[in-house]
Amino acid sequence: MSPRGRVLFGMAAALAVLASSACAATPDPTADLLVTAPDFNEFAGDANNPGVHAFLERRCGTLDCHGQPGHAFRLYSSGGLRLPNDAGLISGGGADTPAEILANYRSLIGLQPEETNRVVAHLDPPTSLLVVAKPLALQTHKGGQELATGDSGDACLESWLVGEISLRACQDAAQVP
Amino acid sequence: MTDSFTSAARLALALTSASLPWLAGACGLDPVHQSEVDALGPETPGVPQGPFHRAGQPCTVCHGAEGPASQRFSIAGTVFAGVDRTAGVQQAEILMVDALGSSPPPGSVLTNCVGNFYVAPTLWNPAYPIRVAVSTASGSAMMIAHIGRDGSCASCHTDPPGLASPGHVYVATNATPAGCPVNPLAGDGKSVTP
Repeated sequence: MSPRGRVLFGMAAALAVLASSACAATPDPTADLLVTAPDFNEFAGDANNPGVHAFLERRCGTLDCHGQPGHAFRLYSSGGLRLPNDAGLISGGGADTPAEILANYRSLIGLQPEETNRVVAHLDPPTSLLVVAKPLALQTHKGGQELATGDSGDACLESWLVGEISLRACQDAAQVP
Repeated sequence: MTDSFTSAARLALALTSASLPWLAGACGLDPVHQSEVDALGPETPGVPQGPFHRAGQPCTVCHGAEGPASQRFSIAGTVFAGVDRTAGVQQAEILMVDALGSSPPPGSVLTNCVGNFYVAPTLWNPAYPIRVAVSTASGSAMMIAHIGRDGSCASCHTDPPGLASPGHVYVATNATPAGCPVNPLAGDGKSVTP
């Protein structure tokens, strides 16, 4: 390319950049993104039903597994990692706090938010999510295979994700091991 | 000229590629593991390497598959005599059951006079998760959670207790270890965290 050609090319490129930035819309700070997430109350459980959380805490949330702050899927629990708190709660003492359960819910749905939306909307199967595929060993999982297809833990998790929670499965899963 | 240059370059590339794994192996290169080993610090003066050393440290950092210790442990740890004490509990039995219902033979996993215990894979190589309890003449205690995958108690049970650790493993007792080749009370009251 001749020197004149290079100059022309550079000017054209600069103009293209200017034009594209000029046309970009200003983000609307008041806009909301509609997120379809699995039900929080079913995740948290209550006095009669342990919900998904009790199972995840017991099976996945130990300090040597997902009870570590470095994990993308990080779980707080009374027997594992505690969420910083003003009550003086430390690992191994007290009960799970509502803030910990909410943080765990957000950790789970925040792993793959778009994909989770698609599963909740019945557009993709639950096994398309890492949180299901990894413990089933459909994808590499450092902790190995923790669930088997159709067992109580798998049924609890998958039924919750598609909006048809099996309380019995979650109850059973929270008792194992 | 070009052909001979290409051939020489290919030969150099092949030789380099072939030598890299050898070089890495020869130097024992795994900086992450090496940093974990280094973080444990030196041996305590007066306590030789062996079953009484490094009480309260994560044993399988060195005694795991990556070494550098020659003897491998599947599970190992230390039981102390109190929440604020770092004297060991002697003759405590570690009761364990794994995901398949398997356990070490009864009476085979006992702490020594500094509180250390270890399980060789030839004795028991568990399928995780594991449930654990400690039993002594004065009582027993069961771990609230299970062990998910780490064979060292002290990987999680570090001092001081806090958000990410319940503190060291202990069973409260006033019994004094007897017949110990090292001073079992030398570190009492000091932190066990490296």
